[in-house]
Amino acid sequence: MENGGTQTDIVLLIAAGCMGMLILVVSIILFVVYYQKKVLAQKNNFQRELLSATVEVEEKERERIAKNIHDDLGMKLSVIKLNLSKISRNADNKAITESVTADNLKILDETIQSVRSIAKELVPPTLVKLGYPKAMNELCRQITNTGQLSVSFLPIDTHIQLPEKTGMQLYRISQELLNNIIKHSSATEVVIDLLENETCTRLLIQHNGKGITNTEINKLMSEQKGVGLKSIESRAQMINATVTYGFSDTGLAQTKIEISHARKK
Amino acid sequence: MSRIQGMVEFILLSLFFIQIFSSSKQTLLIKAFIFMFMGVAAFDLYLNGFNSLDNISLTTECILLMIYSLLAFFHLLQNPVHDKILSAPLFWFNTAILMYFSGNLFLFVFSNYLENHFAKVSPALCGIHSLLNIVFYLLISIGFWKTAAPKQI
Repeated sequence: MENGGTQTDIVLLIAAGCMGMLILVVSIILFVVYYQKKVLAQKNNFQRELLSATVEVEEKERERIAKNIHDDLGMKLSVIKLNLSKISRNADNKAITESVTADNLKILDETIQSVRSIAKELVPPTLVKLGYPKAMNELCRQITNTGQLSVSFLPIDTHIQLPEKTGMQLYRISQELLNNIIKHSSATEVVIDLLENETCTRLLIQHNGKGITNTEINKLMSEQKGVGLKSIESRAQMINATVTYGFSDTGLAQTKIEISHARKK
Repeated sequence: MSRIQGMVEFILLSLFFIQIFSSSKQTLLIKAFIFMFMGVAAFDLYLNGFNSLDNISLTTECILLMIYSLLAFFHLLQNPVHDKILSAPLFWFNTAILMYFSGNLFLFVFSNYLENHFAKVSPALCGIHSLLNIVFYLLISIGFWKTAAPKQI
């Protein structure tokens, strides 16, 4: 009887152990399923935010171009139109015709210049013709010439060739980052470095102003602020790059962009 | 006979998990576990003889396969291939392995003791083992079902 009791106890103990293990396993599996769903939802949410930021940036850019065309080109073309109608009204008066025609030619020259500068803003010709390093060099020179900020571009290898799409997106990211430095950092000096190894291409932007960390960036993005930051993130994703904000060992604020050469699985 | 079955089972399942993990560290770990298991199985054989129950090897096998399975879940979370984890065949295969071996762990640990001390094994424990077997094969079947390519419209 006692032996039977012991056996029952042991059987119960083993059965309880089995059940305990099963409950533990089921909990782990449920956690895995729940966690994956949560991560997926977060990822989808982030993608949606990035998409909306991209659209917003695109709309702002279109607005700016429209404003440029309306205020600059539109006005000049209207003046040309008025001048031409003046010429047609005063066809007999040679002096007026000559003077207005000269005016028109001058305005047409300015209009051509405006069209060129708008086109240059849209797609910098240096970027298309000579690639990212040369275009960055030019951009840095232009910013330095304003006297507000000294920007140096010091690529270790000046012959780095980036694919056209990568170069374009990296240039836009660099523009946005420099814009943020000018607007928010109160920096006086910026140093940009570009280097390439077997696994990745790395762009390092360091400045002596007020920096920002990844945590602060994530906070800004989660608070629905920083359309520019989201645009940077979205462009970085397009070229399989990661953007890291932080500080260098020497305490300088820095932003690191790493473009992985490995194709996404 | 069950000793040979256990060894073959463990090696085949280890090879299955090697196929899953892309990291060389995890592959190396599995290879090390295979050698470790062989050592334990040889020790068990030396200690208990060929005709006794191989509870030491079975217990080791259970624990190692549970480790593989947990690593595979971690791998699934780190490298999501499917949008829904329930659509991944690996999830079902892995669940089957984890449930079967963790559920049976206590049975395997005490199998030798039960055989030596009691005239016959309790039907309740046989029932638990059979139930886990059914669950194992059901989950494996779902896994194979999920490997089928989606229908073309």
